[in-house]
Amino acid sequence: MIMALKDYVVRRTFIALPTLFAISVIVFTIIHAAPGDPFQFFLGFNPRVSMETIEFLREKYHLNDPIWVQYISWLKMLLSGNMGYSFITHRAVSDAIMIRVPNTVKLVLTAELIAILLAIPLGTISAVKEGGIVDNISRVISLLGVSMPSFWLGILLILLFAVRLNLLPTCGSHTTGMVYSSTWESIKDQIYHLILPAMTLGYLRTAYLTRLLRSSLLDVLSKDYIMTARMKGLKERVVIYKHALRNALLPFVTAIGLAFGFLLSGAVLIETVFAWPGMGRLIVDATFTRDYPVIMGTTMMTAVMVVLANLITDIVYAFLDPRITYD
Amino acid sequence: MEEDMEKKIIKGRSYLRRFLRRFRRNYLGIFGAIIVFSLIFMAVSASTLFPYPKPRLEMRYTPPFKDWSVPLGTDNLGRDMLALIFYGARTSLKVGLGSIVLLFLFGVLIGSLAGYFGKWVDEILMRFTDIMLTIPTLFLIIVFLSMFEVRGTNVIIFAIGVTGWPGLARITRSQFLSLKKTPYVEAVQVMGGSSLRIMFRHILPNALPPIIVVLTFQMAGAILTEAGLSFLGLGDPTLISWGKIITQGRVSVATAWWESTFPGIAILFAVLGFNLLGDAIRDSFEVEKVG
Repeated sequence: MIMALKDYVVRRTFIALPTLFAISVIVFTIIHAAPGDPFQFFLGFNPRVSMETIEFLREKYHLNDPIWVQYISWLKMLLSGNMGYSFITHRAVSDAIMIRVPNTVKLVLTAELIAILLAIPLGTISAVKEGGIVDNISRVISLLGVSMPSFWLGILLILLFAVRLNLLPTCGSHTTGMVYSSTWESIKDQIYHLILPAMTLGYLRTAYLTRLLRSSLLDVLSKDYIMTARMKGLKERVVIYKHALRNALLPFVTAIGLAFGFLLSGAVLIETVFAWPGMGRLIVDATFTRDYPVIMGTTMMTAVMVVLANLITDIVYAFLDPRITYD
Repeated sequence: MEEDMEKKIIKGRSYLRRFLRRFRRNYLGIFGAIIVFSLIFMAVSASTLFPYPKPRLEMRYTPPFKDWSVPLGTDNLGRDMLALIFYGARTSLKVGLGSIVLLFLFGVLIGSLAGYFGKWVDEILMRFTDIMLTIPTLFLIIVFLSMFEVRGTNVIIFAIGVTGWPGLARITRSQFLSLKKTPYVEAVQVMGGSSLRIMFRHILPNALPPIIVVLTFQMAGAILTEAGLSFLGLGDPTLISWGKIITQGRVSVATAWWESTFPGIAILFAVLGFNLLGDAIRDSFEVEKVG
């Protein structure tokens, strides 16, 4: 079993490589196909900057080379573990990303955890007592959740919890310039900062996951083997938790894993509202300055994260469903 | 028993009438349709009902429900919030409609080619679709937007359209896969109909119901995306957009809550309207779960 799993992971990783390669080609082409370049864009209007200077910078960053030459040198650099340097800050792109990734992951995973913890009971009760009070309330929660702009919800929550009630901080991932007396203090401070953004993102996911679990559980409850279980005289609790819920969780798990990209998209907006120093902020800022290496690096990193999430989903899925083998 | 009766009654009526009959009974769907019609009304009548909202600094930050010449108050420049909301509807609908036209073109073209021709065409196109799905959509849109120095509405429509089609392509493909094996399609094939004719004259009309459902949801999605992009500062700088007003009102949210609250409610209703409409259309078409 363990060996099969290891083989499977290795094989899947190799399958993912061409995908990542194709993504890098597509994104690289899009970015570099744009007319103009960061230097023209940034310095072109400045009368003190001569055309020669811009030309010198273009030459220095190889922006005059044909696009495929630029791509190959970028790929070579990447394979040697270097993602290039930001045009604006001159810092290594990999450094900038590595600082941001943990923040985004922390936000996204907390949000997903909140969503799962809320969606499982809400979805189960909604399906079991179809048309009941809980079902109707969760329907309203879901409809609002899928229709609401996340950033707007974030602003409202800031207004309520941070401005009016003064309970939680408005932005950032920790208190700047604070000297902590202990590690525990530091963790506590970070948790305080995490609550609002994670709640905002988590609510949107709850809306989606609750509906999903409800419909998949309703589907399972209409199956023949549920009727068999009931006819055997099993307690309703056992029928629901052991027979129905377990089977209904399969599509739920898939949805959690496959929607990882969706979560990352959502995080871009949430990070902006709460000034959360994550990947989303990084790419938005890089877009304004046309910082090619940063845009490239961030996009590739998100693609890698999505591929990883899909891989983990497949493995979890195989654990949950004994019919699936790793072959 | 009742089911049979119903079938008998409905039998013999046209597809459209059956659809309308089912739709009429769906109250949430009617609510959605009312919202959508109000949006269209707001977008069309904006310039007739309100002069273009000009800054009037002496009126800035008028709270709502105080001065009835500006019922929803004014923003930080003294512009009438109600007028801004009406003009914002115009932007949202424009971006939404433009995006779903593009989504339809890309999604249906790619999905139908893959589903109809199968084999290597399917293999290549679906591989490409999977690749597009691996990059989170908003990141892909941002990458597209970074191409342009001036991000007008058309650029935003293009970015949403060119990145959002994979879902639609998959559904179109599965429709084509199942429909191409039906006797009527085989009959046209035997009669020597060209592939193009079969695809777009015979299969596509029958594949439309789930496509329309997906497009309605995509309309909701496009409105949300436009709002999000405007919020990030990547929207069209020359147009009034709900997302942009929210960003602008964000700095003064503690003192002038209405400035970012009302546009948010507008977005919420617009998106809700299309979502409810999509649900109702799906149920009335008797389409299997999509979207």
